[in-house]
Amino acid sequence: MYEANSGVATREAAEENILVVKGVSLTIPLEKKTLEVLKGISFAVREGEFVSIIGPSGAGKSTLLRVIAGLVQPSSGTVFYRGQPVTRPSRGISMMFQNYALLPWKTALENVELALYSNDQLTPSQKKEKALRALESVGLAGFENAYPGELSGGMKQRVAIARALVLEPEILLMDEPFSALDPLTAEHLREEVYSYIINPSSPVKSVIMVSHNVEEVVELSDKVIVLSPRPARVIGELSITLSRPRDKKSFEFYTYVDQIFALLT
Amino acid sequence: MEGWGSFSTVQFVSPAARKMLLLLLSSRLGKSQLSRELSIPRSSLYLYLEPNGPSPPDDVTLRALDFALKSYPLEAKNIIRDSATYLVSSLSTYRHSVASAGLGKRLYRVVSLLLVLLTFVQYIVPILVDIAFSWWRMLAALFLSVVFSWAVGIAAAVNKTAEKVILPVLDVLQSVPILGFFPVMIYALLVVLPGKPGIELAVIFLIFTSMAWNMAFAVYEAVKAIPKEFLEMANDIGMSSLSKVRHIYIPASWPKLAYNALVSWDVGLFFLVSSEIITLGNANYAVAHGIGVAIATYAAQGNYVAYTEAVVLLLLVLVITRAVFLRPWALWSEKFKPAEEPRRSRVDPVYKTYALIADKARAKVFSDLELSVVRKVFRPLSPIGFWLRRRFSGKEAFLARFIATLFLLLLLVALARVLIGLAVDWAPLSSLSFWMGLASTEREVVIALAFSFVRVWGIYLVSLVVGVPLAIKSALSEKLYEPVSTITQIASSIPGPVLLPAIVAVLVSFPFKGELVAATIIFLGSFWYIFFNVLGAARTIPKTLVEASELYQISGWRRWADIYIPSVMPSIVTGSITFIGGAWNTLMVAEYFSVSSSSGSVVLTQVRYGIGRLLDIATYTGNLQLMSLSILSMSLLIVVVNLTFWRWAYNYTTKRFGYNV
Repeated sequence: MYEANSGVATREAAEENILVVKGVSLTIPLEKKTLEVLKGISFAVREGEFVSIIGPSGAGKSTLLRVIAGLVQPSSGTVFYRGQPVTRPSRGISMMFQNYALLPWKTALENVELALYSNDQLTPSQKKEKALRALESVGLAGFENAYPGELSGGMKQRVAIARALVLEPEILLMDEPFSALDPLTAEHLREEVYSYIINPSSPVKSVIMVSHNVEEVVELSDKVIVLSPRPARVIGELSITLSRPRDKKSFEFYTYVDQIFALLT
Repeated sequence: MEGWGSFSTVQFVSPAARKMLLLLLSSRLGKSQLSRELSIPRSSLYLYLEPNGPSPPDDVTLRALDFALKSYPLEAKNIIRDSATYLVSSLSTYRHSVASAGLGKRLYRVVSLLLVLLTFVQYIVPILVDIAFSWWRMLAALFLSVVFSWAVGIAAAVNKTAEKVILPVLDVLQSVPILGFFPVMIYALLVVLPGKPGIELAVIFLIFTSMAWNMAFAVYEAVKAIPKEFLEMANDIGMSSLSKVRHIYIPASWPKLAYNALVSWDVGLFFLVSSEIITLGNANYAVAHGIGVAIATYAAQGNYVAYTEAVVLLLLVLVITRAVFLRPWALWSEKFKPAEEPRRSRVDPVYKTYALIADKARAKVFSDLELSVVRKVFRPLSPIGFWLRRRFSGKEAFLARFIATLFLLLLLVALARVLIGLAVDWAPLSSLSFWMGLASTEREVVIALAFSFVRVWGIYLVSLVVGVPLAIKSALSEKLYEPVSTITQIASSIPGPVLLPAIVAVLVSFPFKGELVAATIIFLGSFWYIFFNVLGAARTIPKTLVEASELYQISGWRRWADIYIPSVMPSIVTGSITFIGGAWNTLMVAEYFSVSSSSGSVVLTQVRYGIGRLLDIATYTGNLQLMSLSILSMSLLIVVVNLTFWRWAYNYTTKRFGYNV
């Protein structure tokens, strides 16, 4: 019943797995021993789902995200995107980096255009047009010629969102999207960011977010994957079926928060 | 000497040694005079001098050699060094006799092994003596620099008036090409202190000038950074000024001082070898011992066994010095760091040195003083007025400016007097021919300067094209980074001029030999500044940026043009500024290399036009006018380029690029 009310689920009724992580392990050889980062991680993301990955810092959450993006190859196991194994970055999956990875020497517009460089089907003017529209969609019309240094933290975040969305990905990966902002700003921006990404005109069908902030996770997610300390294993999977926008002061909200804390400690 | 009897043929004398002997005999005496003196017919002299002479030398040759030995002990020493080579070559004769005498092969092997060993071992002691002399100069200069840094740095940090004088002066001192001033220094010191002590002092002083300024700045910065509470506490318990120096200022200065000493050591080593080699150009100035001397003379003799040994031993001693003295010093100094600052004992201090050099580069180019000088140069010509003006205001400022301008004018007049010639009366000033002469000298200087400018910038562009991609590639690859940084650190610790003889030997038969040698020396002396600066910066490129470019499938030149190069842009500029500064300093050894003996000097390599060459020639011929005009013109060019181009480039790139947004 709750699920039917969630923004994503209403839009995408099909309960198909868009992404499947199957038995993913990663070991990194060091000088003397090998370091186990990920250990047999499996979960699935359905179309229309907002999934969060939470775990203690240093657990390997961000690494897992990079494996899903195709930036890092797992030692064993596979990530399937629409049934196809992910071996390198693909256009259907885009990522928003921690601290946003904006180039300080490029304007907001150029930073967004960066994502379209490798697209040979578009002419330069089409690329510019697309990038402008992406900036508009996150409410940054008029700021296209500003350099990142001239933008506030929240605006930088929106440039990063625009850059991730301009590729029209089906899956958006977000690596601690709010950690670069001060807590107060982050608090205000969560709903807003959610609405930029999940709305009828957005191409994004599913989101995977890495975070270590429990309240943030409860506020935004449909499903939470809880990881153990390194080597990271899945120690809990939890569906959150609260209606949106979520009331952070409600009893149910805190039940979820407590549940996740219990798993983490 | 009985052994010389076995000098049965000249072929055992290496080609370069033969050339030396030829020059020695012919240049000093003249061929006819030589034949007269030795009462030998001219024809046989030629016979001797001709390497492939028709008949084996005889009595005459032996007498010539004997004469050489007695008259020129220094050169004779070199010939004796070559005698080992002779011994080896005579081995084949020995072998025949051994074989014919029916003695065992075993004995032959032992003897031959001993002889070969002797060839190598005989140079080790003299080389170590040479290194000891050089190291004494280095340590003396380092010691002076430390004392100077404490005196000047602490004074500037605790006294406001002293600060306003000392900082601008230090700033100017560290931005002039010091090596260019070496000749003047030799002259000045030889006037005060004639003979070897004067030259020794000149060399030490030169090394000191290459070491001291950044160390003084380091002490100043460290003392300035002492928390106010410390000083309040000191005053509260009634510490005397002296005990404050001892218990607060000096301990607080250790970390920065030690790290800067590492930089200074590298720079000083370059100046040590350069100055030793430069002194060799004129027998009157030549220092007798030193690693630079050894290297240059062995090379001039064509004795490459000894030369290689000298380079290897120098490297060895250098590594040991770092390991047992400089590095432990830097690590020890870390304990004086304030507790809240993170200690970085795990980072190799040697690795940090190039980053420090880059820091200095900024100070070098953008000092307030220089800026104000340029702004005011057509108005009251007064850098001194600048700081006076800061101190005083209104009428006082006007008065101060007036006094300062007057003072500066007096200084200029005094300088002009030196320019025109020491201890010369003013008469030539009124003659037209004097000014015509001055103008034609300046014309020569400007042409030379233009050539050197093109040379420096050409090599700079080559270094950029080679160094930047290489540094970025190795910084980003985990596989490459460790080996490349280790190898380059070792390679960079060899002072470039040490390799000069080897480079000359390799390039000897190439066309444009002089140009190639100069290019190589400039490259070796300065390349590392760009390489290490960019390497360090490329290591700090955020990993997410590289990942972003992978994710968006940005590849090839776009990745370089849009991400890598802009990321390291500020470091490219600071590296470039230090490169250019270093390159101007290398010119005096790069553009002209000669080795002298009491019989005259041999120019081993030179370019046709170049300011370094002019400075060398001015030094060796004692042409004060040429010397002063060269130095002044070169300094002017450097300062102007720094203040226009580099200032702009620095401001632009630090504003636009890098991650300090």
